[in-house]
Amino acid sequence: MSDEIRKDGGVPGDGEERKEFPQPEDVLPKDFETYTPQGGGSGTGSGPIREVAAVHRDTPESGPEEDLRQDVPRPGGLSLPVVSEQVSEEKLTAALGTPGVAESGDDKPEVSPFRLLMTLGLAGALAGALLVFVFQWSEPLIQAYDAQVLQEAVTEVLKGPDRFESVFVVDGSLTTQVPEGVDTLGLDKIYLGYDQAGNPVGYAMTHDGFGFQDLIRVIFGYDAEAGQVLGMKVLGHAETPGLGNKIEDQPFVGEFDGVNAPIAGVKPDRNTGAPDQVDMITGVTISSKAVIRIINERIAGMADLLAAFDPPGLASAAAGGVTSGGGEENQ
Amino acid sequence: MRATTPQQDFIRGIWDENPVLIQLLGLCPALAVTNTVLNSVAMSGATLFVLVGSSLFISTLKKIIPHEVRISTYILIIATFVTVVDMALHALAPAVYKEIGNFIPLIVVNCMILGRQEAFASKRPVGRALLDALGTAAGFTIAMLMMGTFREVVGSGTLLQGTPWMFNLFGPNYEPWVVMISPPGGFFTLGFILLFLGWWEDRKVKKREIRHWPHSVRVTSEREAA
Repeated sequence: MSDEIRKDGGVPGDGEERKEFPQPEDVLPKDFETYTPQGGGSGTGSGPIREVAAVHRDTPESGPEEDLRQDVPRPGGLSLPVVSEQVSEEKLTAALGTPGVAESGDDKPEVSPFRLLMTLGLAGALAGALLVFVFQWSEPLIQAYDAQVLQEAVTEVLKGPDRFESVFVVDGSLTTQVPEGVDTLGLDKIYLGYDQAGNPVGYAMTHDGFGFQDLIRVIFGYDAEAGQVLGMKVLGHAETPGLGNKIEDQPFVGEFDGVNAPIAGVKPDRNTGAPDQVDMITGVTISSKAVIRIINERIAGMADLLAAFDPPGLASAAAGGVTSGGGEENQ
Repeated sequence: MRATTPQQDFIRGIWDENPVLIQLLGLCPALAVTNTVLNSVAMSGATLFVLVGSSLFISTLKKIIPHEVRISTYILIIATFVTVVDMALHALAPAVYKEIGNFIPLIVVNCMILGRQEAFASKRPVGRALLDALGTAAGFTIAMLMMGTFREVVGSGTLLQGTPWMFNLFGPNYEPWVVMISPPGGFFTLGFILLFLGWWEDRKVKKREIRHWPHSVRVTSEREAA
């Protein structure tokens, strides 16, 4: 009988949620008949509990607990539930679990510190091992890309040299031959470009300094004998988009082709055509000045070294057998 | 915990519980790297990989991870996937990496990802965790694309900048709203999107109230009812 009532009174879609919890029949004594109030059970997940509680609340005729033990037929065909055993709210809650409350660590057995240590240690070791493999795969690709970027930049600022090689600053002088036992990674270096005949055409040098917001990194070609900048390229910056980033664009970059060092930045309308003048960008004064200052600083810093350095010409180039893109080998 | 069907697990994260637009999680990448569509897509892809990978892992291992060290273990697993993505992106797409590389390591602390692990993957079967991760990542991608498209179109006047399919929308005389591709533009865009969505939801509720009047004057929104 109770089944029929539940079919009629149940809300569609309720059945799915009830599967989550034990049905009242599983928990209650066998001879306990549940009573489902009509239109009840709004499906909030606490259905079964509410139905049981409703036995005591919603039946107006229900007297003291003892009276319910007699199975008295009711007018509507309903029979009052027969309670043979007291079913407490606590007992039900314990059997059904508290809906909506996730399992917490409180009721779990204590885990030994050794197991915690092992779990984290093992996870860390596995993670490390995986990362080693990924690193070994990705590192050559990254280095190849960096080398390619450098080669393109050097080629651009030296106006297409046939090849170039790295020149290192060791103990206050320039040399192409790094002494044994010196790590080339920590050394300051510049790139010496050669033309097809094997004559040096100029040095490509990188340098960075503060711009408007952050460091600007610049590479430029420099002909030490003529004291002339051959070309410039901005490698990295964080200037304002739309304003400061114009230092990357051709009108400004082109100004540096063949300008005499030290460079003087001037406003476009004050340019007298002198060989050391570079037009600054209107509205981008700070970034423009920064680029010019970076280049001047680097040239001033390297001037003595470059003057003392005798670039290996035809002879040593042939002997060294450095081929195109030789700069990569020295990295 | 409410019982859900597999379809619900997947669909839920896409719109109804969209991580960025509804839950307001994962806002750092949503504000920082959505200045072009390409960056948004790359960031979404990286997040998808990390979310799906760590959800699968954590759901599989949920029984053997002790409760006391679960958060540390989750972070360790997430960080491993993030480092893999970081290296892979650097190796495979260096140009994109140059733009968004700074923000890839920050995926580790994206609370959207840790939230899904703690709230879902650590309690549910592997299949469900996978669906949930895919749905959440899809929702994240939708939000990122909404912001990225708007910011790039308005801020640069282009679409798909940095890809071979780039095209110019407004011609050479368009003066771009540069502020939209700078960080403040991210806040403006997110604010306006949230404002619009809030207005839309409000309007829906009001319409329903009118339709049901006078039987039930007060009708809560679907989200409130849930």
